[in-house]
Amino acid sequence: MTNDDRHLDVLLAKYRAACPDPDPSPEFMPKLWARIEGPRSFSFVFQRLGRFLLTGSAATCLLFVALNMMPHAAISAARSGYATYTDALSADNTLEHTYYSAESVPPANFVPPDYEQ
Amino acid sequence: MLVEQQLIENAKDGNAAAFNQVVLAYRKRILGTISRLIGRPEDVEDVAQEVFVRLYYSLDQLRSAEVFEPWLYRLTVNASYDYLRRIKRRHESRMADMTEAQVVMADSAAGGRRSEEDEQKSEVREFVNALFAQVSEEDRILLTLKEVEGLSLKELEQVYNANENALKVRLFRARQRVLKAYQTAKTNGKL
Repeated sequence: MTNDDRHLDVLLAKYRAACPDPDPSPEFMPKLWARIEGPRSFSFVFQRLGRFLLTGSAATCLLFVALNMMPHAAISAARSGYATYTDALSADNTLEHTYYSAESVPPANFVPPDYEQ
Repeated sequence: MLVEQQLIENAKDGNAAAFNQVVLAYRKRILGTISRLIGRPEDVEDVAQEVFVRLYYSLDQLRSAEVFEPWLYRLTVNASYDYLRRIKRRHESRMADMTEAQVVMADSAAGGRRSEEDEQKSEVREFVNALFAQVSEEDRILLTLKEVEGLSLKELEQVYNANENALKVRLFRARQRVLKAYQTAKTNGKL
């Protein structure tokens, strides 16, 4: 170790003594906790807002589903007088009837073929 | 260690009272280290609070209470680096704003209230700060931690996450650069 090395060591030791640890101010701890709580309270508010939005969207979904279901039931009941689509289907024989009546009633000028010839 | 390991474990588990006690035990030491690392007394508390906020949010990542102090020093060094980077330009512009007459007036006003002992301490501070100003921030912080704060190589290994040999080389080179600045100052008669 050279002389300069030793002088530098002494100088750094003096420097350490010349720079004592400062005392913290009385506001140190309150400010620190305010800084810690700041982001936490933000995340708390954010979580609450998120939960509120989630509940709101779930309620809106339910409302839309209900609205979507209600007119169908009301309209189909009003049109057919049946409670369900299956009831309406089983009761509805319009097509069959039309087909049958179309085939079974011959036109007025219809001449049946003479099979005996 | 300034506190018992159990207290650190409790703080790690989210006990706010335990964390408060840890801060109360370490804040003065951390304030001192920061004041020597950044050299601006008006911002020391702000940086120290930043260190403890980071500690609060990262304490659950601490492997064991045994490595708490190097962990805290690592946070301190990182927060100081961040601060120094942040204020670099702001500081330069503020110094440029002061006229030379204002600087002389401020110096003489402060000097008038100083005792002889304070004067000597102030000279030592100014001289060492001038030496440190001639080396890089990395050299200055590493040397301050080793030579002024008195951290061991083992502790520095954990602070810097580097092996002992690499640190020895870095320390040697940093010291050589400061020594060179010291010899230049001596040659110029500033000592």
